[in-house]
Amino acid sequence: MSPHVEAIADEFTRYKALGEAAIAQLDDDELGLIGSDGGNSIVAIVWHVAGNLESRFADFRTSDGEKPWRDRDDEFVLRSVTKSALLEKWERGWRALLAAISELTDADLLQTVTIRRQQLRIDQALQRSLAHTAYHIGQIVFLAKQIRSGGWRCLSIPLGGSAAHNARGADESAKAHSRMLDQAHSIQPPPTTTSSS
Amino acid sequence: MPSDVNELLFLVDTAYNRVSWHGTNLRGSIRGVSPRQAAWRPGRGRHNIWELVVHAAYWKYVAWRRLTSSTRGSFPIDGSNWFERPQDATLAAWRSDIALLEQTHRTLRSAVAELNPRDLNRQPAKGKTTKRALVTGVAAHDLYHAGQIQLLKRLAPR
Repeated sequence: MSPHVEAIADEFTRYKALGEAAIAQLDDDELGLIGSDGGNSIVAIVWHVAGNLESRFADFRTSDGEKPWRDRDDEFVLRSVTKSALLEKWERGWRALLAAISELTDADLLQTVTIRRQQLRIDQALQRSLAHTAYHIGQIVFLAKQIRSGGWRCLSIPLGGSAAHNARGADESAKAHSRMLDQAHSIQPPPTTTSSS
Repeated sequence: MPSDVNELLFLVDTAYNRVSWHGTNLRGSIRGVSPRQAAWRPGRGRHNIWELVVHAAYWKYVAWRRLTSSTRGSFPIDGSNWFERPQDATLAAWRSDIALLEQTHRTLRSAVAELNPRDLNRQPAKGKTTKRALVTGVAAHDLYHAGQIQLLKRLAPR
């Protein structure tokens, strides 16, 4: 993979792993919990992130990133789903993104795509999407930690572990972080689906 | 066409304090937050807004240090990664930590501005990731925590 594309892909993968490591710690009935402030549940945020990714990156180079079939408002509707169904939705979004990225070279990043009828360079479209995704995955992790409370398994350097981490000279690249998360919080992959739309 | 370095500057600026389409960035997320709100914890052992701010400042400092391979100076607070806050729950102390975030952002931004475009895909002397990946990562890190601060503000008593 070209170095510029790889830097962006690795960062996306880090946030995917963070989201999955948080979701892995919750039971089915905890995923739809609404906070005391009445904000979005993890289900709603996952539906939104996955809906956004699938819309933006299906037929990425050839169609507007805001697809006519996307119903953004519906992403925030209350719904009760199993973890398996949640992960299926999640993977659909990520599959569209990662498939689109896998076909890119650094030279492609200067080409343009259309999102909401606006022309954007591909590198800008990817960075916008990464910003949006990181923001919401921060919220998924926060909510999961809030729900799991005392039994939470840390997703980064554990509290009090910074000195040992620094002394080890640990690899802090996005790739290494994703690997660590995948190993420590491995989850059952959702059933494979045949359609991405 | 904008240069790669300008694109990286745009990235760190929009994640931190420049208006962008994705909504609230890190600096925007703490605008108007009181020391009381900043110090509030959602549970025992959980981080508050104040600690997220200093944590973000710390990683901007680390990114700057790696980009420049600098051996000068140190982060002004002892320790690394997470710093228990507040030590002093006053407006002055809160403003001082916000000023630290501002200063580390400015320093990082200057280092990004001085990057040689030809070096972006190279690793810094002691790094395990490219300079481009380092800058991309620190911008995403700002937004990851901005999203969390937005939730903390909704939960914290005013």
